[in-house]
Amino acid sequence: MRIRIFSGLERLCLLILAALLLVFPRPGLAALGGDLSSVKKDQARMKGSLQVSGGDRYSVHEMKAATGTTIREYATPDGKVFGVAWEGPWRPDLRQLLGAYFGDYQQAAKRKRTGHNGPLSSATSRLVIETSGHPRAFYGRAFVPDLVPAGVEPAEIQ
Amino acid sequence: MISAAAGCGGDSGGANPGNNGITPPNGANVVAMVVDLGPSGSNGSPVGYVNGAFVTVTVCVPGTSNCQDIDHVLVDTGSSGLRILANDGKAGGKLTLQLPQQQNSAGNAIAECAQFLDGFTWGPVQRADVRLAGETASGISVQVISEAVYPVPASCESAGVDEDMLAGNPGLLSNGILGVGLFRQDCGQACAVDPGLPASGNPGLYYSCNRAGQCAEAAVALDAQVSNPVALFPADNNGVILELPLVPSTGAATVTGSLVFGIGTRSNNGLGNATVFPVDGSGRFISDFPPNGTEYPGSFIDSGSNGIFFLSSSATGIPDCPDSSGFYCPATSVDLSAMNRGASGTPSGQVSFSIANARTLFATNNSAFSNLGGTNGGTGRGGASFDWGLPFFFGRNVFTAIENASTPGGTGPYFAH
Repeated sequence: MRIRIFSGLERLCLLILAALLLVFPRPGLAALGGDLSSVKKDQARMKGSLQVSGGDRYSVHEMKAATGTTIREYATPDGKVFGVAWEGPWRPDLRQLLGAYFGDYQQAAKRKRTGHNGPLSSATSRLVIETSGHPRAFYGRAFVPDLVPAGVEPAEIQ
Repeated sequence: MISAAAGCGGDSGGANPGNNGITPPNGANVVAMVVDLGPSGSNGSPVGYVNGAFVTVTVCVPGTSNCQDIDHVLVDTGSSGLRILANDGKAGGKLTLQLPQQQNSAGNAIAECAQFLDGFTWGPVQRADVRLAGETASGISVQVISEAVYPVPASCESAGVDEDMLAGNPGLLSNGILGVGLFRQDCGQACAVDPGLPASGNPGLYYSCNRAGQCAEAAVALDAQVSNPVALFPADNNGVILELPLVPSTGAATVTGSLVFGIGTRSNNGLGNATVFPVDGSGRFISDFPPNGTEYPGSFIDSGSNGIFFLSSSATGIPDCPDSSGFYCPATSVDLSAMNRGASGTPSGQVSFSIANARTLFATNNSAFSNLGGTNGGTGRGGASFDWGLPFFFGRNVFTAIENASTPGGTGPYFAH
């Protein structure tokens, strides 16, 4: 490995970059499709408590947000989040929770909306998402089919 | 469908005969409710709403006779509070009346990002006298759905899909939403807590906006939150009844019914022989499907849902529509029944309903169907649910009692039918 010495200008740039990252934490550190480090960030944002359970097929990281909404993130043994579910009086921040798949959700909701005032059920090759409920009692779940480990039934994500 | 009414005791036959076109109730607490294809869009034709129950709401600048009638406001037992689509050059609604802005204690304008099933409505909270029939809620907070003054904040966009226009995709397809649900405010105590506190449970529905148009999540006191107008009427304020007649199995072009204010407060709004189903603090009760079968504890009655939404095609054996619209499309109509129970398990009452082919129904160009159904993926551990939407309301009187309100059937919140 080649050792590089940063020039003064480079050091200044790095310092500024580091400072910017401190001031503006990266948005979209969402769980779905991400790795488990994002779970901790979700927990901090939601001011919630965290419980971890599960077996050798996957782990479940359950957060109870201060709003009363419970969020479960399902991760593979190597730490990849393949599914999320929520239930509680208010929806969680879906942009954060769905991350790269938030746009898929928006598209699904727009496709559904015309002439259909009811729960959303959408399945594409990228994302399966279901949402239901009403103000003060929302439910939903989403998973990435390609990331669900072999032998895990989608019904287990809830 | 005859059995649908019989299964739930349909008409009380007693103090409250309202249904089936026999004796529409009248009085200062009754406003006409219509199911039709919805308000006219920009091309002059109805937007094509299916299973929407609408009323005309009069809003006034508080304490004045400066008022405007807003037609085709959707009656929604699944939410609380009045929201009106603005006529602001973009939203495509009717409201042109300038209402005073609701402010917080610091004198800043309040706006709201209200969450619905799969989207949100955004706009300022303003004050109005809200008149329905002979009832007036004076100086209450309503939401004006508009992005003209305050753009949608990024944190609100995260709530899903912006329901900000009459037509388009998605379109609100109504000139507003009249939330006559179980609660006094749309949010309640959680939104009165400072969202900046370390363990604040404030869900972030309300915003404080500065003169530059920038909005940030903020606490809003209960009396400034968007409120169920019925709860703030001087009388007949403990709940509502939706009364709609039966419709034929192929639907009806237009259906006329009544939205009645108060439960047991007058001779025209008694419970009769309706069964009271208490709900939990989140507005949920239990539906068993089939009766004595699996328990679905997250169930609710929601006139703002336009079908009976339950389970999935794989669970029910009823085919999805080929266009993946979320509706069911059985080859022939399917007769089903479920058992509704109060949130704590009792009382119980059987409900019979039918699910017909949604595509066949839509092809009639009718607006009112008692047999339109679809899937409901709400699979939370405590939340698998039946969403009893507007089809459930045809041929039965459905009562919605407001939280902490006293009625002859007990203290709300409850549904009764």
